[in-house]
Amino acid sequence: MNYTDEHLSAYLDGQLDEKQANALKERLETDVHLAERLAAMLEADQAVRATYQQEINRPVAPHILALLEEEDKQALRSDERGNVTHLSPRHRRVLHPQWALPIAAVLAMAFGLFLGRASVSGKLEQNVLYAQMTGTITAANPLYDTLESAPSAVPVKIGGKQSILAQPILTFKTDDGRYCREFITETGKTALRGIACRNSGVWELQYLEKSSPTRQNGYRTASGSSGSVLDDILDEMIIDAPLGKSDEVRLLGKWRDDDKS
Amino acid sequence: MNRDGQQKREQILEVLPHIQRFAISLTRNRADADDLLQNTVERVLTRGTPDGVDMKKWMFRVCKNIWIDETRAKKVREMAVESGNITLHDRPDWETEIMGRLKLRQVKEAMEALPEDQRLVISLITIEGCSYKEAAEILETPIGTIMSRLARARKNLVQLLASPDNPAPQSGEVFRM
Repeated sequence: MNYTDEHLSAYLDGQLDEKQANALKERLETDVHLAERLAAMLEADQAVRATYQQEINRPVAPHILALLEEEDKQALRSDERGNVTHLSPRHRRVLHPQWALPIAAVLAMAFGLFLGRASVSGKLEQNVLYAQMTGTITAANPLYDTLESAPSAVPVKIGGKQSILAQPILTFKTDDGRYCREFITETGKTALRGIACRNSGVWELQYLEKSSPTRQNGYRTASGSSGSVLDDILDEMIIDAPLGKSDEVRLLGKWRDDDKS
Repeated sequence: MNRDGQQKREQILEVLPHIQRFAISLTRNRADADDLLQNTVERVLTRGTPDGVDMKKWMFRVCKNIWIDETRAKKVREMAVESGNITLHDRPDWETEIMGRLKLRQVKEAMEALPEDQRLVISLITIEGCSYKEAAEILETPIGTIMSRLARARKNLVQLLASPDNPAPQSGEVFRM
């Protein structure tokens, strides 16, 4: 029998009936060329499957998730602790439905206003957003330079057409030896307050909180309370005290030198 | 939000990673995949779904229909700009950086090179693990056609992924897209 690609393809998927499958299997033991064709098909199949396997874990863009959660936003607003999104490595890998909604709600409320399809001004905003969703801020992200080199309390404009202000608030060391920075990013109407820690030359987002922008007086939490959950988190993370100005300048200089080498 | 609406949203959320991966496998970059996914979600939310429908199959089908419509419209636009040396679908730097490895790029380029009907069956059967019957339902095509498209797609992928050091075995059939 002359076996076609269709036979081999169906055999690969177990779609031949038992009699046909056994006959083909027998032929494969003696026909090297046929076995090679099947192996090549199997290899191509595996390459495709492996290439796209990881995509199942890719976070769904928040402006798409926001379509599904309009009423969840209100619930989030009434829940003070819901304003904080914890992006620890344990949770960061997969955007699982159980926690997808809070994250998307926070992000969509903060950035969604100018990240909607009609108003996306370019990949800059997308990079900001994806970094926040995946928790890693690489050198390709405009937030990276701010975290890497801007002194605390100095606002930096990172937006393109849409004005985004980023500002490190303080720099500190954790008990496991990492350096972290608290920062805020804000547009005209919305703001995010977060903590990112430096690890092997990239910044990993640890926590994110929705705040209200008040450009004259710093920021305040969206809940309106004087303290926030993120303050408690900061207290737990910081050993001793935040770095002083001179220590921070030295640290920023060291990072700059590390990047050059 | 009423209970039906909430249930529907939960069903969509449950299958969303699969629909997103399907969209990624059909499109050329993340931005296009996001647009396709967003249009799919919007259409399912606004136009409703038949009672008792399998949400995953339904969304695959909606996504497929939108992609085919958009692909056709895009071909027209591409023909219009080709003479002006405008390059469409430049891969954003950040995505190229993430993809990194040559093998990933080779496979994605091979997928892009497949005709749309072949890409659809590979996406559903090889990547999403659908049975022939499920793929036939989603694509609204007879199983026999699914089988022949899949065989052609696999043969083409073998050819497209072959290198000079590792040429594809010849089956004696004409390489046909």
